[in-house]
Amino acid sequence: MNTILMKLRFLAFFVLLLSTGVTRAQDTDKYAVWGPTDTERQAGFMVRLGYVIGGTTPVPLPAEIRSINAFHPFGGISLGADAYWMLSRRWGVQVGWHFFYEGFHTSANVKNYFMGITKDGNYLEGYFTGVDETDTKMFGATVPLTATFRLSPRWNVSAGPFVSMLYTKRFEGEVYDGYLREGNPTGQKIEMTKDSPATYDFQDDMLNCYWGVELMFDWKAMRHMNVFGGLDWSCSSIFPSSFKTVHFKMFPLYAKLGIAYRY
Amino acid sequence: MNFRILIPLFSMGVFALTGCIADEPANAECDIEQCWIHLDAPEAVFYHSYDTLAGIPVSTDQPDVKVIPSTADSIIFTTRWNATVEHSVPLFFRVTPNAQVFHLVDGREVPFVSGTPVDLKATGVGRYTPQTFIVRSEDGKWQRSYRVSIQVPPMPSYPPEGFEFKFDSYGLDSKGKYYVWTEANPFLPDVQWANGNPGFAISKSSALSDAYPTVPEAHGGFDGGPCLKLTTQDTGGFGKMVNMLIAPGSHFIGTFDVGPALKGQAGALAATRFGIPFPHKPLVLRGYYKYLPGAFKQDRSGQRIDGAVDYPDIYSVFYRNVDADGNEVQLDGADVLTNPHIVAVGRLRSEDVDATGQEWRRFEIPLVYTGEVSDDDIREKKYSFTISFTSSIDGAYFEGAVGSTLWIDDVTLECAF
Repeated sequence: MNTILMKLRFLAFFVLLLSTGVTRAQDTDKYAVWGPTDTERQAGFMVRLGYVIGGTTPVPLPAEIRSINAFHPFGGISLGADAYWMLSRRWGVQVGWHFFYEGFHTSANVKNYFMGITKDGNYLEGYFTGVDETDTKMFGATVPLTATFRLSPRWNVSAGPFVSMLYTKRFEGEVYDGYLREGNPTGQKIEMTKDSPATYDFQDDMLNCYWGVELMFDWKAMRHMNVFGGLDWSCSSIFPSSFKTVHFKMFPLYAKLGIAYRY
Repeated sequence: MNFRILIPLFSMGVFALTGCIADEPANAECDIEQCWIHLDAPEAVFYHSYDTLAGIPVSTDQPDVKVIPSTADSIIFTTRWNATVEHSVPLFFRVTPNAQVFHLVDGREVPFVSGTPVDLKATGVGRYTPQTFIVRSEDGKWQRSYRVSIQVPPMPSYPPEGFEFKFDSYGLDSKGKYYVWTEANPFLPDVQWANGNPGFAISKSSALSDAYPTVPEAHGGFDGGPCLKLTTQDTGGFGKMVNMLIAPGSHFIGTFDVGPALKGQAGALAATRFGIPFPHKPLVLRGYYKYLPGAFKQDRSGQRIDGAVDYPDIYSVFYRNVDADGNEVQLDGADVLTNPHIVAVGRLRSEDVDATGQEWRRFEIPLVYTGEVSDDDIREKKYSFTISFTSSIDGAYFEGAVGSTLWIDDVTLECAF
């Protein structure tokens, strides 16, 4: 958690630095050209379409993860709309509803990674050393409520909390090319191969919603079109704290980049 | 200009955190992986020079390497029956990397350096000097304790009535999950019976001890006492996961190494390690059985095989346990009936099986010798012997009928000496 706060502070500092530098150089008249001012329409909405990339990960990576062999995002998509309301020339608020479909595949070498598997009432848990592959897919909607700050006539940055709800979800994987020490590191050694991997499926254990912080930028590329990008940084785990099988908190961390149409 | 700065800014979020790998954690394991002693003339004390290495040979690629199973808590070197060890011998360990070994001396833990001479004196049957070693993991959180000893077995002797196996001596394992048997026959101190129950415990942890593939039937025996009951069982969700849908009831002389048991077909075959060194020449295996096949035989993928009926398997195998290079030979599920070191096999013929399951039937299976054997070499324990029972003849390949049941009791092995 400390690490997240540090990074957030770093980001805020960066934004501040940019805004001060940029403001001085701008001609105030241009605000009117590129968007709402005190004399013009102060609210509106836009439709956003974006590409989403990211994953669900413990933050920071625990020491049990020794290397990442592969990371393939399932080309995600985000489609939604935002309503915005400028309270002043520089400040405004924005609320949205964004459908998303996102996921990833990852393969990692792990060492003494605590895991458990449940199948038909049978339970096996222990410390696994070997290869762990995970596939995640989530379809849902995010509702962000952000404060918007105009850095310059064409640049907006916004930040604020979001809540995500999941309609369909998948979290499954397999372990192989290694061994499990049953119960604890002195337990019996159970070897696993790629031919007969041990598989797991934690779909039913996932929570249906999570929350976090959204950081976004908008660049007014044309009169009605923005290029936008940002990061949805979840602050809550997708598994409940009662779920002991994966004993790290797993945070969805997704970045997006896309275009928006402003009405 | 600004755009160029902002793009790395948000991608930083994902990659700065997930991209960094933490320092490697210290090892948590604390196993003795290999253990051996050094003697200048090992064959004066042991039957084989490889007997100075404890554990089991695990790979045909490295026949001279033996490893200690992960479940072991005692390491025993068994000498010739008429040998003694009067002096300390250098004892060697290979342990989990960076784990530390301590020798328990008068209740104190003394750091142990591999290769140090240790008092393991053994001067006769039951007169030996066990030593306790404690292995602590690199991270300091875990430890295991091992008892190491050299032991002298009793003089081999053959009772005139033959070797009798009653299967009357059983109890639950240390976790209370499944039954294990010990051989109570005083003429057979080395014989250990094993079965696939430890593997089943992993695949179907919810099973009660009486629902395992190998169980005793307390009053169902031919003699009214306990007998063996082997049943082909469904392995449940985990079995499905590793593509091992059934587990046949099994019981054999040897050991079951649970390590590779779930590691695919090859691993499952490697888990059953058949035979113990045997200083007698086996001739005929006799006993009593009942057999009732399950409703239908299924193939590896669980598909019903039309018209196929399940059969039990009962066999005994006598084989040379040392290869041309002096390395240990131990048969496993892959070659227990085909290894070139086999000199004699006796196997129940499927066409002779009575499959009504109603009454006890007698079986008599002579061992058929296919090669020359030297009686002197037999007395020198250069041959190993196993007896194996299973409720599904193709069970090692996960084919069989769920519910097939084989009862076994009052088995006698007749030997030439």
